[in-house]
Amino acid sequence: MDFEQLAVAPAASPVWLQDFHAASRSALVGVPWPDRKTEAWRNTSLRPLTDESFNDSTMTGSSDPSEYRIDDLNSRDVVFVDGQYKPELSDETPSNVNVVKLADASETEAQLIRSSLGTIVPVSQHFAQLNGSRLNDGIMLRIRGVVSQPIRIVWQSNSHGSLNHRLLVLMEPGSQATLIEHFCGIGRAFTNSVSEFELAENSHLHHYRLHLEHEAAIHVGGCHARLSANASLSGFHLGTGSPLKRLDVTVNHAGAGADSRMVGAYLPKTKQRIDYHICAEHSAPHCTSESTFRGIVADEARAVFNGRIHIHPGARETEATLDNKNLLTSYKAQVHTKPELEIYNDDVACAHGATVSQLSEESLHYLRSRGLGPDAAYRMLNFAFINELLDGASEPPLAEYLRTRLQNWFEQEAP
Amino acid sequence: MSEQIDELIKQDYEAGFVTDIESETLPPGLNEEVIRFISARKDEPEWLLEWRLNAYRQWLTMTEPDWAHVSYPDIDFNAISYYSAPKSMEDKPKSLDEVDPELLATYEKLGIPLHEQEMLAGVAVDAVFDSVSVATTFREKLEEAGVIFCPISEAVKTHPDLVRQHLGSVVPVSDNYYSALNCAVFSDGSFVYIPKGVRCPMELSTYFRINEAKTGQFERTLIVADEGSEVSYLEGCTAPMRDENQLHAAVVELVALDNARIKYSTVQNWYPGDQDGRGGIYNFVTKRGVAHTNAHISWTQVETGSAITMKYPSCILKGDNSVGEFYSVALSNNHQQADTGTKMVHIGRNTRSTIVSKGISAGQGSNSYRGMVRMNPGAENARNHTQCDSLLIGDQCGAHTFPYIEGKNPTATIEHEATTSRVSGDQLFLCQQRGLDAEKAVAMIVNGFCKEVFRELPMEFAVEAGKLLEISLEGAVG
Repeated sequence: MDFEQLAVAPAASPVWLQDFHAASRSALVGVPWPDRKTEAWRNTSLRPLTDESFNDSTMTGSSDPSEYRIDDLNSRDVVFVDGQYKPELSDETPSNVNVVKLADASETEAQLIRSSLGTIVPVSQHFAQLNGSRLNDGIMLRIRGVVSQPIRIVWQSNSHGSLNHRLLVLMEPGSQATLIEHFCGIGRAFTNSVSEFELAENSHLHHYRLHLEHEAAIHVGGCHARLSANASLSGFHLGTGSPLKRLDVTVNHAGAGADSRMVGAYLPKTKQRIDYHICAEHSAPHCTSESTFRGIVADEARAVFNGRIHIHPGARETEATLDNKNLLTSYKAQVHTKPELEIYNDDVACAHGATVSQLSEESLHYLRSRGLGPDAAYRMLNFAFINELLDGASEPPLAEYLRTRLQNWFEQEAP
Repeated sequence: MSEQIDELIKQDYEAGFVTDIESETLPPGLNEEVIRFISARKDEPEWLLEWRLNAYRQWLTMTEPDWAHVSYPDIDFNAISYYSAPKSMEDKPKSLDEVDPELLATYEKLGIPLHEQEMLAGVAVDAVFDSVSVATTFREKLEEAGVIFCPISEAVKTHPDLVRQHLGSVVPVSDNYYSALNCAVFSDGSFVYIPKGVRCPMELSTYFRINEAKTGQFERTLIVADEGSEVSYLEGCTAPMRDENQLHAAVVELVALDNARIKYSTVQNWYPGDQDGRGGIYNFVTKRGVAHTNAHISWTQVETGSAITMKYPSCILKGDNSVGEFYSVALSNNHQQADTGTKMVHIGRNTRSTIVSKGISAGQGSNSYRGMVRMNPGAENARNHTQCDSLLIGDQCGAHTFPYIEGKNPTATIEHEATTSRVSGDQLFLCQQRGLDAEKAVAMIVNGFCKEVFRELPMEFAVEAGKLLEISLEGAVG
């Protein structure tokens, strides 16, 4: 297996996109396929991906909208099925939201796209470069002013093919929006997804990324944001496990006064794997970042969490924190966590914490002394551990939907 | 204030002088002949020569580690001399009176209590001057208690079974690049054996000193604490000023059998290089201990020296109820780079470990904590608490934390916390308002920051460590 071999550009693309393919491909020349000795992949094996072949001919593009229905959410949906944009399933977006298919972009739009596309995701993200080299059916969202209704991108995969998702969101200065990326479907596909967010001055984005696809679906991807001065991002991540799920999340605080808050939960069970690599880059002064990730690892599952705070010289008066808590619920479950700090400036206040344990006996005892059975007490505490993270959600219907899913999730799992 | 800084930063390295003693030094280079020469010089048994050669062959197949957060030019291992002994050692001195007076003068300048040691806290010193042990004291008193404390080259001959049983049992030959090199060419070092149930009557101490230019120092320390015994071992280092970088690749192995306690304290003050980053020691050391049932291993270190440090004193908590501790203060000023931390591998049930790491970066120094805590599937009810704090002084330094945390048992608990901050203007102002100058104020704040670690040091060391830190930090106030 070789990155360069896999970098096959699709035929018949506009010239600017062909240039982009070539640039992405050149970033992969000589890059070895990751193995256990590659620091970023030391605890996650790519075997499930390399052992299987993904057949693109199974892709039907047929969809079941009931699968991603969220009651009362009242969102404007942009729907992709098996990697293809489906205008007929999508809602009309508000007038201040432009949805542009990358391949159909006009000359001025292409210019706009080129100035951001591929510049937000770090070059070292080799799977993202691979995504760029094969880029065909991505979209760009351009958001102006205040968008009151949440916008939802539905990525549904119902096949056993290899999918290449790409999203670019440009938030104009002063704009505000809520964006939900909803991954779902019954397919056992391999998805390589890259989402990039460009937040101009004073823009505010609420971002949700929900990985609720089929438990056999393989996913390697991530989302990457660049924040200009006084921009703010609040991110929520939820991931269920699969044979291989690796998600990279980077937030670059590039403008003074930028602020980010990231919350996330991962819930692998059976023999699943999940790997979150998150990174807060601070290259401008007066920025703040706060990340809170929690995981419940059950059965024979394995979770990997790598949280990095990187403060560059000159990023004065930075405040950055990171918190990672893990519950192990079985003797065969494993967690590998690595909260990292890399700091090149003295005018900072940074802290991180990480814990790994099981539910405390005292908490269980407390609930049982109030009349709950051991199973119910156990489930309630597990649920509460994650539910706390949902309390800050800006979209109550979405939080409600996720609570129900979590309840079901913990119902299935007996102690 | 910056003038003040410049002035103070020029502080000279107090231990920088060269002793003029004729040495017998092997020409630079490394091959099997060199290893045979070292082994023959030391009159070693055949098995040890074989062990060295085997290590050398493995070393040839290994590659230098590149994962640490440090950068330095490539080391030419053929430009290093692997054996150096003061010439007057040809005939071993029968008593201290016969030791080369210049050698003794060197130690006196460093304040090592070789002559006055009887008066000083009952410390037995096994002084290592370059590669050969110069004098070993308090032997009789230790012998009375049944404690063996001697150069490892001597132990190979007098206690071959003990050495053979434990040498390389904690740090295997092929453990890492520098430990393999050490196995092949180790010059000398200390061997300690505490018999069953014996509490060592005094604190054991050794001083290492790199003297001859271009000679690497490859120490080997092996401490075996038999069942129910107890020992506290002190290690201190200073080295004279040199322009070239010198390599120091030691291996320390601790074996704590059932119910034994080993406390290993280090004050490391190798030459850190000048303020432009020229010269200084490369300190690439492998230190590891195995704790059997109910055993207790404690590492305490204060690191103020070396141009580059890569050092991870570790505990393998093999037996049930065993305890591992790691207390560290690492300071990097000027262009010093330190990548240091610990590994706690919990294997037995009810094992506990504590990590307290304090990193201080000043000037253009870079200080990284790299630690690993692993709870193996059998580590029922094991606990770990890690606290690593960094203090930054100046806007050109770096402080980094890379903890690897692996949980494989649900009943085990791991807690890790880390903070990074600087000496705040408010703190400084408060102290200055009360009449302290900036220099003293910072020294006081840093001392407070390190208090948890200093508290773990034996008294003599705690005093030295505090002073050392103060000297190393002078001029770093911004």
